[in-house]
Amino acid sequence: MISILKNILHTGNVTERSSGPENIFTGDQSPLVSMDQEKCGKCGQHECVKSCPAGAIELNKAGVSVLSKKCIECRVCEDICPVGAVEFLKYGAGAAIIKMEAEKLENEVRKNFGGSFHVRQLDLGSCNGCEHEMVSAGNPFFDLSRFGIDFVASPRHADCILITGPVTWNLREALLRTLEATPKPRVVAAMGVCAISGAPFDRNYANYGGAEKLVPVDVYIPGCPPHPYALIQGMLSVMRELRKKK
Amino acid sequence: MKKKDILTLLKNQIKSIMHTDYGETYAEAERDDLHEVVTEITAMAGGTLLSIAAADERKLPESECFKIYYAFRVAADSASSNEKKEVLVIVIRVFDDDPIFPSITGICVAANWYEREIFDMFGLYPEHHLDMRRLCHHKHFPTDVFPLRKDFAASSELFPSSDITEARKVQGIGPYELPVGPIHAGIIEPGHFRFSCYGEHIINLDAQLFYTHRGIEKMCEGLDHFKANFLAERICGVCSMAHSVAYSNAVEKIAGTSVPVRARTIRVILLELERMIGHITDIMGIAVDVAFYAASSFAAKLREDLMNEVYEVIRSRYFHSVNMPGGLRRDISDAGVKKLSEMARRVCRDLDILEDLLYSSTSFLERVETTGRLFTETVMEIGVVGIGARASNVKCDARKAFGYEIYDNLDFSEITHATQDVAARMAVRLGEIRQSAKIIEQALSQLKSGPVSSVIGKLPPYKPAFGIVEAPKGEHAHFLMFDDSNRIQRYRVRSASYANWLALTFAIKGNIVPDFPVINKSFNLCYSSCDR
Repeated sequence: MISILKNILHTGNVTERSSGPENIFTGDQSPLVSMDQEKCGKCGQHECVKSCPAGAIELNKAGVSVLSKKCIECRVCEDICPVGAVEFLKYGAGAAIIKMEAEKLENEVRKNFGGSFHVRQLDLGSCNGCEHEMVSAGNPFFDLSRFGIDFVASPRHADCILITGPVTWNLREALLRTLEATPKPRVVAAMGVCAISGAPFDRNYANYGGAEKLVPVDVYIPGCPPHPYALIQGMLSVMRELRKKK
Repeated sequence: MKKKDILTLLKNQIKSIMHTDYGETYAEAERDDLHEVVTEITAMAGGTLLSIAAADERKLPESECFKIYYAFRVAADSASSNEKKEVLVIVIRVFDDDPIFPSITGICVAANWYEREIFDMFGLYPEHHLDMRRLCHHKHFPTDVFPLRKDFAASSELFPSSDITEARKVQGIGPYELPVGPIHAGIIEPGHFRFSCYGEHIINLDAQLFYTHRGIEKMCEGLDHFKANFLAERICGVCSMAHSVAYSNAVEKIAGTSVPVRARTIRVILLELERMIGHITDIMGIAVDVAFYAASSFAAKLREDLMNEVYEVIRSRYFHSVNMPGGLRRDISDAGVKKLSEMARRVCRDLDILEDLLYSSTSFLERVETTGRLFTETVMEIGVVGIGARASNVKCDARKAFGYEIYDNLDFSEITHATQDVAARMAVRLGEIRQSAKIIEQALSQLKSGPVSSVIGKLPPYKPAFGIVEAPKGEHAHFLMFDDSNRIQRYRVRSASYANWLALTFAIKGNIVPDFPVINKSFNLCYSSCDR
């Protein structure tokens, strides 16, 4: 017992103070990619559009854009671009990083949800990566529960259903029944690109290719898998969404 | 018995040798001789089942039938000890007008699931199989649809209804049934369990899996070797490096590409880092499941230290997008590799503290010792791989047996344990983390500058190969075959979890229901790589 206490004191507090650089997940463009529109298009072939394994690159008037809904962060476009117009960023932090203070999230939970906000995770065919990032978000570094956010066992206790995976046929019934058991107002959030759009998995005999094909989704948390910082900030957008519904 | 001796022994049954390359021998046998051949290999010659893969080759002019590939690990010809293995594949033909093949589950229990899967996916019936409940498909799935046949389009729309496959029931006065899942209470993957209990004790466990079946094997058919790598990485989120290397090894074997030494060395470093992260996660899970939070938080800290360093160096916390067939996608600087190995050394040092925490708590040891025992005989019989086997004193390490990448040049020992329980599986993990740190150290000293990738050229059509890699969970075996336009014809992933699932149902017998989570965690079975 004493050695346990000694170890706890010795390790000390390892929790990160901020909840990370804020990403703005509202646009279609992936926040992880910085696209130099000056350079883009000079190659004239758009090799990147063809070679993207997830089909996330779209050709438009301004040049090309990388869709956050589909980007699996494989960085093939960065490798292949002959003019060097694509650059992948760390945590998705762009030129305009808005450092978000941890208190902002804490205040949000305290003010609007009485200090406790409950999430029910729902694995619908995920590769387990997103689950591990959820567990990571609860570790002593990121410590999601200090904001009052907790993962709960029953959908009946949840304010938010967090879906991962492309939604398999075999789990269709489980999804519908879980949603039925969740009280309203509730938010349905999709975590990871395969839950959002199915990418890089195609819709086929075994999966639906995204949660939206079956149920309405309110919030996207893109990434493959999303960094725990992205998950924490995704929670903030979940709360904004839920406040609208209340 | 060595491979060449087995082939001499079986010379009457084997019709022809398809090819002998890269330590794999593909020998064709008559369907009716299968029983005899398998008995010779497993019972007489000490071979163990690696994987079974079926392929629809009806469109191919030279075969015009289904083929089933039975792969066994047998002692290598060249090696002096029995530790080195090679792959011996027995191929049988099954024709469309008589879609039946003899079941070998009676003589080789490990074949059980493979045969059931072949029926679900190809519609070939294993004759005299004792348990023909459906494995991959749930009740809603039409009985006359076989997704891996070439005439089934991947995008076909089926009409699902809801139902749960029937489970085996224990009957009598007193026993009751406890259904759990598919949605569980924690942050874990979906699976449906039926416990038959008497009081607190579990008599039988029946599991309904394949909830997360995404159809990855079908999706990969028709893709080129570069794009399929991204799907291989996503078969399992926590051993994506191992899956990617296994897949790449198969491609490289077929193409005859020699991967630059630098790429192979860095692959080993990353594979070992993945193993360290995986094992620490499992120890953390075991501590959480017995509510020992001081240890689990400390393990979580070690894990995050490692993952953060990996993210700093390769920009992916799960080793995505580093590896590709032919080598590495991009080079990692010497400074980066050094940073990684330093972190590995630090975590290895801190492991002593974690070990101290775990072993000084009697209430923790009380929960893990003698819990979930998996007997050595069961391990041998059902073909368990990885930690599950080594904790029951069975040597089974693909790094030693197949010596892929540069493992043959490295000095490390295979950790085994004799007590067969949850504590043994934890002790093997602790030992292996230390071995991994040792391997990383050695690999770093062997790191030379040079190129990190070579080009994959034209791939010989319809030439199968296995990519075998020891992942944190155990041995993954990827079977791969290309068609004549350089696209994947058949890709079959046999993950460690697939081979180990039945072990859980044996280890759980006689234990109490509250110990189920910790026993489950100690095997660390991954649903997504099992279901694909």
